[in-house]
Amino acid sequence: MLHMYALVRHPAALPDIGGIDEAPLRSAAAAEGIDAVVTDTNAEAGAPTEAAILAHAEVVEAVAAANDSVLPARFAGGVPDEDELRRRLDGRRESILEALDRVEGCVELGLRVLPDTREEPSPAASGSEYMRRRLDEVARAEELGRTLHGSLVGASRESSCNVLGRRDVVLTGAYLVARDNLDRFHAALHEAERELAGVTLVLTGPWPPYSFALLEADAT
Amino acid sequence: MSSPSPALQQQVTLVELVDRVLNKGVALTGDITLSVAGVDLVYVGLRVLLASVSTLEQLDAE
Repeated sequence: MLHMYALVRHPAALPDIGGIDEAPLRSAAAAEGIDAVVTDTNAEAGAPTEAAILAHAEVVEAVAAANDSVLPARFAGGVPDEDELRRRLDGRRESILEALDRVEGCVELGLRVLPDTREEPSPAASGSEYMRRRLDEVARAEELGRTLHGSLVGASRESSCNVLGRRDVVLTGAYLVARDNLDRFHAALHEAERELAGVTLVLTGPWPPYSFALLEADAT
Repeated sequence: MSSPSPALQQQVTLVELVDRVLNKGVALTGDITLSVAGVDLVYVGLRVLLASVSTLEQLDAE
């Protein structure tokens, strides 16, 4: 079985680290001009254990550092062999090359907006009063999150935003930012932060562009 | 706004990592998306992952 970590332009530069179960990395021709970074694994290695997920993520990071552009692969059950890998990417060569152009020179930043729960509200007069307050808090945090997302879009090449409206997470965002533009992105974030009260922002990354590697055909 | 505590930052980083590896990225035609139950099991394992956070921070620092 093969486990795929990422797609890169041919020829792939392979970092000097092992993959899942320390299996040696190698490249496999995925399509003309496109290599997949893979390891040979046994069937059990396809299970998403903590160690396997971390190993996958570390290989993707290292491949991103070694190549001009990378499309991270989703952790999936593995493919039997190289022929099957090529068959399952059939007809997608153009969109893969386009996606590699799109994410080149960029990193992904993740944002989570959490309602501030550290401040204990004053005792509510009744249960319905309490519920109303909680809903108000979520609605307010959601509004702040939308405003924040709006001010970050301008500093990003692409972005996506999910409004969840839950009490633990109101909004998640992902931003594809050119490395040359990271200062501008952080400036936009700091500017927007000053307007925010009642929410906690957690910015994560830089990540390889996982959220922007999704190809049209994957959306189905 | 409030700054996240280091513990919260670590937890969110792990959730975001698992979300990306399992739910984003290029999928091959015919890949089976992990069931919700499967993903939940992975999240149960996050406590184990916390031990590896220093690795992530090194990666982030690069």
